Amino acid sequence: MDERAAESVGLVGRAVAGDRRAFAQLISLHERQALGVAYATIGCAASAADVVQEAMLRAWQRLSELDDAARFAPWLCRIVRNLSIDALRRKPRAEADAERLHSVPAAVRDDALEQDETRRQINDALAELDETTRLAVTLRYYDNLPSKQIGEMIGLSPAAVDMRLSRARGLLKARLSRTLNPNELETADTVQCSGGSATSGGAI
Amino acid sequence: MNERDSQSDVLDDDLSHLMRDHFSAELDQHVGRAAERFSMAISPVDVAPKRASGFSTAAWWAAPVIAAAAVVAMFAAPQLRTVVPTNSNLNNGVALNPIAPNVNDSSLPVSTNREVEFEPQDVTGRVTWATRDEGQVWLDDETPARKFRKRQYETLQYTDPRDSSRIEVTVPRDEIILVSSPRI
Repeated sequence: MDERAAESVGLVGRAVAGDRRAFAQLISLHERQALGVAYATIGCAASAADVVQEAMLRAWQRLSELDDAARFAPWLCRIVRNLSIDALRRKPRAEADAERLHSVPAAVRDDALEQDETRRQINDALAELDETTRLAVTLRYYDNLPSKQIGEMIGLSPAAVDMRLSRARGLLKARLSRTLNPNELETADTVQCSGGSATSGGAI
Repeated sequence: MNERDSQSDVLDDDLSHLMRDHFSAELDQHVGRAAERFSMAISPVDVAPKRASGFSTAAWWAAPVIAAAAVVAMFAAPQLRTVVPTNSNLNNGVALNPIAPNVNDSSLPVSTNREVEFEPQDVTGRVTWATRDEGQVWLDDETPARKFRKRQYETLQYTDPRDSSRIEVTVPRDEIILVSSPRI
């Protein structure tokens, strides 16, 4: 058990006994994971944050139902996922995206256009992944979780997580090649232009 | 390792950076909100884990209380507006205080204490306020409500004729208004 897991187990024990501060610490310890899970499901950061807040309160209410303190993270993940699915039913992914876009102030909209385009590309690429793989990707890149812990949270073996991550990397690299390597594309464009000129020259 | 593998590794690193930056930009701004909400929602005496889940027994009174608060808020807001006299020289939201003492008003109570007895002069007052939407809160575990905070400052200025000093008294007041939200 790593240091973080050990700390989590201790905090769960205190929280079950009614220690609110311990539970607040527990929230801090697992909030990034929870945000990652909700975001992977909903696709909108603001809605994900709302869901996580609700999930933490629900976890506090139902902490006595947790059998194994070491399984707090997967248990919390399940609560977050269920609430995320509920939220998604109430507000579909596309609607949440549109709302988020409108929430950007007009003054900064122009400056943020390029960043927004990159963000849109990444979100589109993530949307092509199935939900479980998207969860694995989010937990790996946002909370830097090892495959074993990701597997525990989403019910897969570490090898299966690695396989999904590998496949996801392939797809993401393909979809985001323009963002990842803009120089290569510029070179390719230049080559095409040169080729065009040479052909014209040949014709003359 | 051939050149192709090396290029792939570079691309993996770039992808990692890109994804990490993306998730951080999207989600980091929300880190900390859950703990804040938890602290607000759970009172110090609340020992929730031992309580049964589901609809709380405290919820039966919540709906009428919220409704009453909403009604009070509906009536209070127009009243506050109407007591503020229109004056083009004043900034928006800042007005002469209609409840400040009028020096010409003989009905004003006069202190019987000779030590402090005086007639304040050049009395002016103003009321400033701002109402802020603080988002959704939970009155208990299952009852959502919208929380508005109305922060008000009543400032009274006058001159003490005994030593010609200018006195300013500001009374801050916070009012929380809860408006019920539809239950999810």
